[in-house]
Amino acid sequence: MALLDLVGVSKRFGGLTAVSDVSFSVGEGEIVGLIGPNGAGKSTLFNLISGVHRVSEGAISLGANRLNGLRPNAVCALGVARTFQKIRVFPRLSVMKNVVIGCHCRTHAGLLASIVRPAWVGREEQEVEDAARQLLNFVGLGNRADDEARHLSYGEQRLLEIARALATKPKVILLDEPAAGLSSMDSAALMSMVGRIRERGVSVMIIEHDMEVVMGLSDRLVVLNYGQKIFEGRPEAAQRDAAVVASYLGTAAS
Amino acid sequence: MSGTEPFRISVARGAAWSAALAVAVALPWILNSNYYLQLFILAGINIILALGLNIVLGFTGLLSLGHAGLFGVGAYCSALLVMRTGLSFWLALPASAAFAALIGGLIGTCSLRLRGHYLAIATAGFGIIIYQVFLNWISLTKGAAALGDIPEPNPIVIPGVGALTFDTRISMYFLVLTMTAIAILVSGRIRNSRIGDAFFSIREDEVAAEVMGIPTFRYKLLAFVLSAAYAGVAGSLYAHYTRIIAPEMFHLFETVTSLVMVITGGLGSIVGVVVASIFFTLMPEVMRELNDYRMIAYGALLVVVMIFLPEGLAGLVKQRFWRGTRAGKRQEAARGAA
Repeated sequence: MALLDLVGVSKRFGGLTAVSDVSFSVGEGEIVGLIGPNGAGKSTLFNLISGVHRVSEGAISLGANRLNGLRPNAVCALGVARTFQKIRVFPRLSVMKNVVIGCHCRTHAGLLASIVRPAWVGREEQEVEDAARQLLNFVGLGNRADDEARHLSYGEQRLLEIARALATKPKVILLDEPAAGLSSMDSAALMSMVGRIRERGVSVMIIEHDMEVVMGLSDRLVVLNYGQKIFEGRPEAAQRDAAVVASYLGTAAS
Repeated sequence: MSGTEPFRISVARGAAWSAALAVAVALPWILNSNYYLQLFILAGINIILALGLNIVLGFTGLLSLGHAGLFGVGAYCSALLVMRTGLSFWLALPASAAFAALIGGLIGTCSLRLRGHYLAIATAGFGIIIYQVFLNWISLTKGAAALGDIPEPNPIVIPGVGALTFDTRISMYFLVLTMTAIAILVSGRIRNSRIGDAFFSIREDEVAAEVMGIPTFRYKLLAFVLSAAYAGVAGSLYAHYTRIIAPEMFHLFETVTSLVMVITGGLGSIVGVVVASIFFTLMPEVMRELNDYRMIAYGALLVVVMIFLPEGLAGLVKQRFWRGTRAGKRQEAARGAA
């Protein structure tokens, strides 16, 4: 069943069409790989889904809710979380705080409650902290909770972004090159984590350049080239698809 | 913070605040001088004012230069309510906080679509407008001639005990001390709350905050409103303490004084802001003959602090202590290995 649905989505920046008439969907519990050469419009597509950029044409919906036109925070509240290709953790806040902030849209303490602090506020904070600690353990950062995020290594910051995104309790998570800059060992660990994210009942859409990794992981692949969708289907089929091979995979040297 | 902080540290923190409060309560008898007591009354008012600026600048990372103007809004609003309508000070105080908050909210609504320098310039513009209103709406504010004869706060009558009057320095001191303590407490509660987290996330990375579900515009506006309410309270206390107010006191330049307090104290640090506010209230008085050069010194100080101590005094103290802690050592080892 389709959860995240894109129909005829286009994005123009002035005269440049970055994304052109792209349609596809992500089902419940599915892992969909999004691949394509640099500049193909993959990250732009993520920006459109998460509300960072406004869609020029077309419709994006999550279940019965229409996403285009909404602010990023509203998209997040409906259940779409993401990580960034260029890391955007909150650098001078603790690792724990980073994840706690992810829980913001699922908690309720307002200004008055924060000042007066009735008992339920303390309980809510405790629940948030427990949830955040559990997520930090999930991504393997449990022992770094009190460090400032900027003091984490590059790979750890990527893991923190995933924990923070999961804290928003998403239905779909968009991972933008989560393995970029990681060693092959860390990258393998990260990919096994993607499988475990699905087991938590979260659908995954992932941009990844390592073909071996993305082929092994994805249920389906969507391939973009110059802003257009040139392929959608099983990973094995992509390897045999002439357009995909020509634009992205390349032919064997002869 | 509250949850992740080790118990030992939160006890130490509580003890330090209690000790500070004890000293503050004993201060009139320690000083035994009306002159110095008056300085500490002004320090208290400056603390409230700077804590307000700290919410926008320190917590949320927005540079708002209209703060002195909002301080003036609180002062004129309170003084005029009491003088023109005969309202009790005790109602005029919250009313002027609310009115300053309203004006702060209007400024925020108009200017918060701008960022960085542009936001600073827009808010400075509003600061200038407010100042010009004080100066030129003579039928209301008496303009440059100054608004005098502002009455002291009304006595509080406690049935069966007597009346608590505010006609002495020492009684004003305790009024300002009480309000300052409340301001510090509320500021701390906000900082450690879900609201504070939202503010900090905006300071750190506004785009990421919004994508993580934080309605950033709403929170930026809230920061402006809270900050203005603090300025309003400070203004009301100031008007009824000095009993004479003039536009010059709320000039754009006066925002710089609060800025110096917040930035040297350490953006976002409540203790730092309190200590810096006291220091920068007492110092110019002690070196009064140099008062004409105050703004030059503040300007130079801001530059030096921004270059060498970007996290202010609080950052310096934290760094010193951080080295000694387990997490600090682990991090240094990790950095050494990298």
